[in-house]
Amino acid sequence: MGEPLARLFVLGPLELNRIPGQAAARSWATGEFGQQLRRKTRALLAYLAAIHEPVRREALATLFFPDTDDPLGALRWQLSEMRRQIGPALLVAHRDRVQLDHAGCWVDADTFERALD
Amino acid sequence: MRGAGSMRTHSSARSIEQIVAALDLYRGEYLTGVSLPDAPEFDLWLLGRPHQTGGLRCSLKWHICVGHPRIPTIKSRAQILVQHLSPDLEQQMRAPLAPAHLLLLDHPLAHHLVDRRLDKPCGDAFPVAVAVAVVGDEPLFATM
Repeated sequence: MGEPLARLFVLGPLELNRIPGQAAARSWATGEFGQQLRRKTRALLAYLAAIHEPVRREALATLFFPDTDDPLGALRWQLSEMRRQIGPALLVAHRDRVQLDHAGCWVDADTFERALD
Repeated sequence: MRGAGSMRTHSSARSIEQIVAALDLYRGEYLTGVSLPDAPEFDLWLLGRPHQTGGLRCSLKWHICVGHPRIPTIKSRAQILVQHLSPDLEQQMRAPLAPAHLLLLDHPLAHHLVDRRLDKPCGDAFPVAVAVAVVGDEPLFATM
């Protein structure tokens, strides 16, 4: 497994940092990039980071857009927005499921929990 | 060891460096400042995350204080605990320490460690009680 492309910090305010030298997500600002993300994008990103398996689009749509006329459409737009902001490499989207590329994204909560194993 | 019949000791396979490094990752509650009023199910999920209540952080402290072989002295364990102890966690650890306090032996630093929590207001229960005992010349932490 290669080096991750990014580090995601969720224990505290969300931060997303590109690892220097990695090519993905060139548009990221340095430092506290996560704070620049929209509120729902941050929430969705953190949720995908917490779930270590593909999540059904319907489940995500129900969770994040319960009162929207077209929840799946809203999710599609949200994922597109996220992909535009964080780069396409970290998000793995299939026809009916979505997941964060955990090999490409180090998450602080994972390290925290592994310390308890 | 007085009243220690039901006590069991632990040591962690993790290095103290890994545990302390994990503690250092904790910058606050899970996703501080994030809430989605228009997505109540997400907010419920968020509230249920163990990091939200500091529970996992408490568990890491517990790993430190249950006799890790790399922390040989009670003084060094105490220093690490105090270094990483914040007021909210003191509250969470206080309640179960009350019965543990009764099992303490006469180690002055052990008394100091526990007493400094007992004077705090009661908070949520910590999943395991931690006691301090001395076996021979070796001070150790144990859980009940």
